[in-house]
Amino acid sequence: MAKTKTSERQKIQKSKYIMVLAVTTLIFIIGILLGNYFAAQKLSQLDQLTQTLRTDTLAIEIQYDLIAENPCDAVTDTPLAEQLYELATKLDYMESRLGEDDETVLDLKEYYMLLELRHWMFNKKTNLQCGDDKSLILYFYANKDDCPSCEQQGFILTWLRKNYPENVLVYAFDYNIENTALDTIKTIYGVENTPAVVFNEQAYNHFLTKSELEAFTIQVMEDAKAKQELDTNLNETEALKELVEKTLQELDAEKEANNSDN
Amino acid sequence: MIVLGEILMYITSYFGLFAALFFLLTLFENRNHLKNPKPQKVLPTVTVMVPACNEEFSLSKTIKSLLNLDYPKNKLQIIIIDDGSVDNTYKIAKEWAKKHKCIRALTKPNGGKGTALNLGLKYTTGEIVGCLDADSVVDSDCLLKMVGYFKNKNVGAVTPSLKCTTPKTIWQRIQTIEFLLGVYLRKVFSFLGAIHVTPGPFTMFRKSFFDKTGGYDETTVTEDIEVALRLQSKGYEIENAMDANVYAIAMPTFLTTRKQRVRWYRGFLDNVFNYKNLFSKKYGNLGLFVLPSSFASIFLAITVSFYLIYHLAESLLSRFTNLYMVGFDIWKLKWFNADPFFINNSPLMWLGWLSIAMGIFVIFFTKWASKEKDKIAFNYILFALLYLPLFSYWWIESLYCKLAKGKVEWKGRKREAKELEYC
Repeated sequence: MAKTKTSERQKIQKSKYIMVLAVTTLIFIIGILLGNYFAAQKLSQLDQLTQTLRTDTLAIEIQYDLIAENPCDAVTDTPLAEQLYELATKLDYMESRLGEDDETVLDLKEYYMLLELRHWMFNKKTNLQCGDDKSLILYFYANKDDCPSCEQQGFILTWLRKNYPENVLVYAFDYNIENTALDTIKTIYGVENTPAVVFNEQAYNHFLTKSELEAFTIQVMEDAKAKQELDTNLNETEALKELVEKTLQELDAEKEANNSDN
Repeated sequence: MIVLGEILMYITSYFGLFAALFFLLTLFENRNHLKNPKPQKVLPTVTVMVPACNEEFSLSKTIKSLLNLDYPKNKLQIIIIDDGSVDNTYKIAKEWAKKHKCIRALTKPNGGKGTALNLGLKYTTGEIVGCLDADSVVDSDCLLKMVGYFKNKNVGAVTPSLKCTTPKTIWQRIQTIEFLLGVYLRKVFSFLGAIHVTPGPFTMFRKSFFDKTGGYDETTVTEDIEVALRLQSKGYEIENAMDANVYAIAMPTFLTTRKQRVRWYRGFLDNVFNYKNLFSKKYGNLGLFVLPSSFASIFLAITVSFYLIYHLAESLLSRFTNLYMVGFDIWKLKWFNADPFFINNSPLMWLGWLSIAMGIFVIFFTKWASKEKDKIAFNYILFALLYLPLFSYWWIESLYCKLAKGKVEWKGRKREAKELEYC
């Protein structure tokens, strides 16, 4: 019974092993190609989104400059800000998929940052000229290894934005991307590390909690309201002054008329 | 860590895909050999040994199912061996022996399953011999489906299709799928001449094999692996009858399952070490592919589990910290993004879906081929989610025990009536 040679069934069929190896490799290659194809598709989608945003930003800037009377009432940039956030989320996703060193993602990110800066500058202008109560936040982050608390800081800022959609605009920048415009901003506000937040011109080179950020935002809203009230008061005083003067003039005129009659 | 993890995932997927395709191709090549051969015109005599240690609650059910076998009673011998029970097992065995001529009841001091079976072998009269644990039952057509394979003189053993009785706990539900997967793999391995476990319940052996090579190994905790490896090393063929159903009670709790697996896996390690000469070209598919693969899969399963658990824990922790930072005020945050942009179609994801699809195909093919009637979709989901970490955990503990040289013993256990209610 006991045998010494390999049984028929146990015999290694080399061709079968090679065939399975070939099919496995083929499926693997197809998988990788499909994955790459979809990644490329998504990147080109992002590229398109970036271009649209660029045009829209330009349009809104021109629109603002063109409308001579009351540009503040006519221009609204809320949908644009939402698109910027969408682009940011998608870029983040692609970065996590393709890695931090992917050239295309890096290029798109740099371009996105410039769009952000432009949007920020525009809002800064309208904030000043139209007396808006917007909190403009520049947020500098780095990857997890260099900045463990950045994820939480980002989450808190998202929370703030979602809870005060009319009043808060957040612009996030990768601290380590080298770009002259960004370097200038860093120098102007004295941003030295991550996480760092520039809240309406004031830089904080440390982690800010939810309550701190919320307090800042509310303060900005209250200040704007107070200013508005002050303006209204001033206007009212002016109007009263004018009225008094007008009445005085009328009285004077009446008086003179009476005198001449007499 | 991420890059290393991804490389590991790719290696695992490649290896997994290769093995899965190889097995499917083997099955496809042998699609005309799935049917069992017809039984002999003159049926061989068969002895079924029932080793029992503290099995008073389930013994009778097992004996009834054996008596119900579609096999001439004059060709069937049943030997109940009481292995030093402290309950009424032997009393029940004697009552059965009194009622039926073909049943014999033996008793001995507790010494482990191997010793009980060796005592049984001494009294065996059948040309074919097998055992059935006292917590298992068989389908009535089970034996007839198996004996035909013994027409081939090279066949030393025929394995049945081992399944779980209807599951109640989640641990049992997971095991039903694990057992079904075992049914599939055993059939494929039989085509490759590579069966290396002959399950304790109802595997049938040629009695002359024991006469020539000695009885059961009394020192091992998993005699079913030892016998299989011995058969392979002596050049016998091991067959499988895919629709000859035997039902065992799956372990009902996490702890009992863990204990059983650690015993099995340690036994596997011990026995494979003893039969390391099987890792050779001489044993073809078994020596060069199936046995080495089973070791590779243990290593890969453990490392992949670690990687996935690390990933999951890290992401849960970071989510929790985020929520904590905003005082769990989450009502205005968006949780689900329906934008198709965020659908993950990375290569690993494609391979993941492919493996899930193949898994579903294999399980449902096995369900069909082994004539399984229970519904299994929910069990499959549980299995897909939980089996990998469980499998890894059992193996880590087994490897630790092996290295620490801890002892694992099989002494049977006193079953509680309420435990059987699960089953």
